[in-house]
Amino acid sequence: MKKNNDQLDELFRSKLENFEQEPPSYIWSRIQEQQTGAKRRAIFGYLKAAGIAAAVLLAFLLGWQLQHSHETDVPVLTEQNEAVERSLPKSEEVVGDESTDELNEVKDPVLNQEAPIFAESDLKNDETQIANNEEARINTAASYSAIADASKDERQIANSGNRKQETKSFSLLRLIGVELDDSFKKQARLVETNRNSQTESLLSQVELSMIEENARLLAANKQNVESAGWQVGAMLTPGFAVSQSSQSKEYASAMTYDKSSENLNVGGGISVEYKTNKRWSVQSGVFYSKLGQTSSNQAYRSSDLFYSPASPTEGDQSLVDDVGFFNTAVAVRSGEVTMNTAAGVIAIENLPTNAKLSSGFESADANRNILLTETEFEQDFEYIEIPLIFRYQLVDAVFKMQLLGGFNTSVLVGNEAYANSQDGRQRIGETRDMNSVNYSTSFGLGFGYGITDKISVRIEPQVKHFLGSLNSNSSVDYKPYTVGVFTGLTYEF
Amino acid sequence: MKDLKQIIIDSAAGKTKAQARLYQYLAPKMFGVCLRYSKDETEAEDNLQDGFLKVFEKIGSFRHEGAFEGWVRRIMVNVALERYRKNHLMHPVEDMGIYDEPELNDNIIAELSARDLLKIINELPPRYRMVFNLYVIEGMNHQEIADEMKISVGTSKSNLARARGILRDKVVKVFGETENNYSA
Repeated sequence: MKKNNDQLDELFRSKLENFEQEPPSYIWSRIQEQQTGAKRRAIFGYLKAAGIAAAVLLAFLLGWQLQHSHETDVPVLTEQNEAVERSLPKSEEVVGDESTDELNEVKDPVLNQEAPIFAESDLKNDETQIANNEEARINTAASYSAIADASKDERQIANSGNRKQETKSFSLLRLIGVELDDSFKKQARLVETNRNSQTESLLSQVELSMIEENARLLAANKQNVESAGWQVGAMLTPGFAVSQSSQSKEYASAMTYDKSSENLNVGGGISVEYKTNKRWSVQSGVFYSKLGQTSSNQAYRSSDLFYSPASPTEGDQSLVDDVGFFNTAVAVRSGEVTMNTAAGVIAIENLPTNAKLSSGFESADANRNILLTETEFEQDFEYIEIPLIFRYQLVDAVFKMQLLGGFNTSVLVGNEAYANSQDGRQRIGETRDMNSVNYSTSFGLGFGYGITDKISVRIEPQVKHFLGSLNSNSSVDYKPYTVGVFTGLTYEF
Repeated sequence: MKDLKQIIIDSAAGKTKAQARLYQYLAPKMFGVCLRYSKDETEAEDNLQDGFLKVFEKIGSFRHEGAFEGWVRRIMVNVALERYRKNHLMHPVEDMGIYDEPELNDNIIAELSARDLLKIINELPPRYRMVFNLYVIEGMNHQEIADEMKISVGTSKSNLARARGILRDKVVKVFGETENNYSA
């Protein structure tokens, strides 16, 4: 037995060990294509990283911007406070040059505040803690002034401190005043009285109006600078997906046929746009989009068939007797049924209703089978897209026109295959080897019309083309392009 | 090949010309290897393609210490093993049956061409084909085969025995009968 084995092994070894055969020439072309594809994928890797980084940066900028805009109330008051402080040295110079009596004149009204406040508080027992705080502050101011009375040399310094304290009180009063205006009317009246008497004594009407005008302009400017750049929008995107695919010869030999090369789908999403200067703006956002691929099958006349289903039942016979029925090449491996389509291989989990699986008609290959069904197959791919689009303003008035172009990063979020027949729509499985992340370029024109200063209607026809195959299967090159019209409203901050 | 080392270095640098020369030099030999591990030419072509892609991807890691051809051949075998592991469920089968062994005679052996033998190998069930190739042609032992194919040593042995049985049977049946007809 051992000798027999050795003899057999030697036979095969000697004849096959150095066996050579020239491979078909197309193998080298395929290798080169794949290598180019790998290089392209590496470039897309960088683009992906850049796209994600840009989207994160935009999101961060937007978040920062929105947060910052909430804080504008406080800075306005702070700057007002500073404005008051800046104006003080001037009045101090005047005071310093003139007699000390004038100092008393400025200071006295502050001290005199005690009387009306106490009088009022005696009368009104329901005075709140806030008003009490006001008294405390003014008392403090008074005690500062008392120290100033005690020493003439120190008066000027003390007076300066006194004024600053008063200014703080002033700004705090304003702050509290805002709150009180809304909720406590009595206290608001009280604080208003205090405010009036204080401000009248501290600053002239001209100074006050200048401060208020400055504050108003500052706030207005701030609002202009901050809001001019940002826009958000909601868009609907009805679009045609035009299928563009090629397959290897072997793959195509057992493939379903494109039913139609166009599919109408509707997507949509939220856009965020930042205007970098007068002409240029950059846009990102989050969009949902859907791609569809419909496949049909080939009609065989029953007379062409030399196959009939094993042990035909009546139903089977009627099927064979039909003038024509449809067949789809499928492969059965390890108990799994797969079908080649233009967009990739469908792994069939549930056979369509009324479909019959049989051996192949033409091929002796046991793996090649035929699915007998009148069904039409549909593959749906859903994507979440993050665009990075650059826009150039051609016309920037009530009517706006822009040229736009950029990149999209699409993340696959849905992958389903359906069978459509007279029995309805039935899920049969999913498409294999779909890339989870894809990249595409977009070009288009943007038209906008301002309904109001802030709100515009936008209509933007765009063409999007995928840079690589959506399927990683080396035998399939599925690169559809879509023509869509982004329609929606944008709001400018 | 005048300066294989330089061609390997250039190929590693991504020079297409060098890669093309390397391919021309090795492709026929490697296609021969792939054909032994496949059920048909289409599968062998796929393996050859994947194998060369892997060769060009990893060529930078070749240390110029052993034979380059052996290194490439090992990659081709690995690609075939990967495909096998991906496509076939592995059930441990202890199959140590003893089969009737028809005799091979020298006349039969002389008549057989490499292509005839290849055809018989292609028709073997995938696992038998893998084990037979790895043991007889690559010279691996059962432990190594068991590790590569994630099967037990016993299974490897039984698969080899079964492969030999089928091959001998076919050789004798197909070519032996022809021989007998001539002698009759």
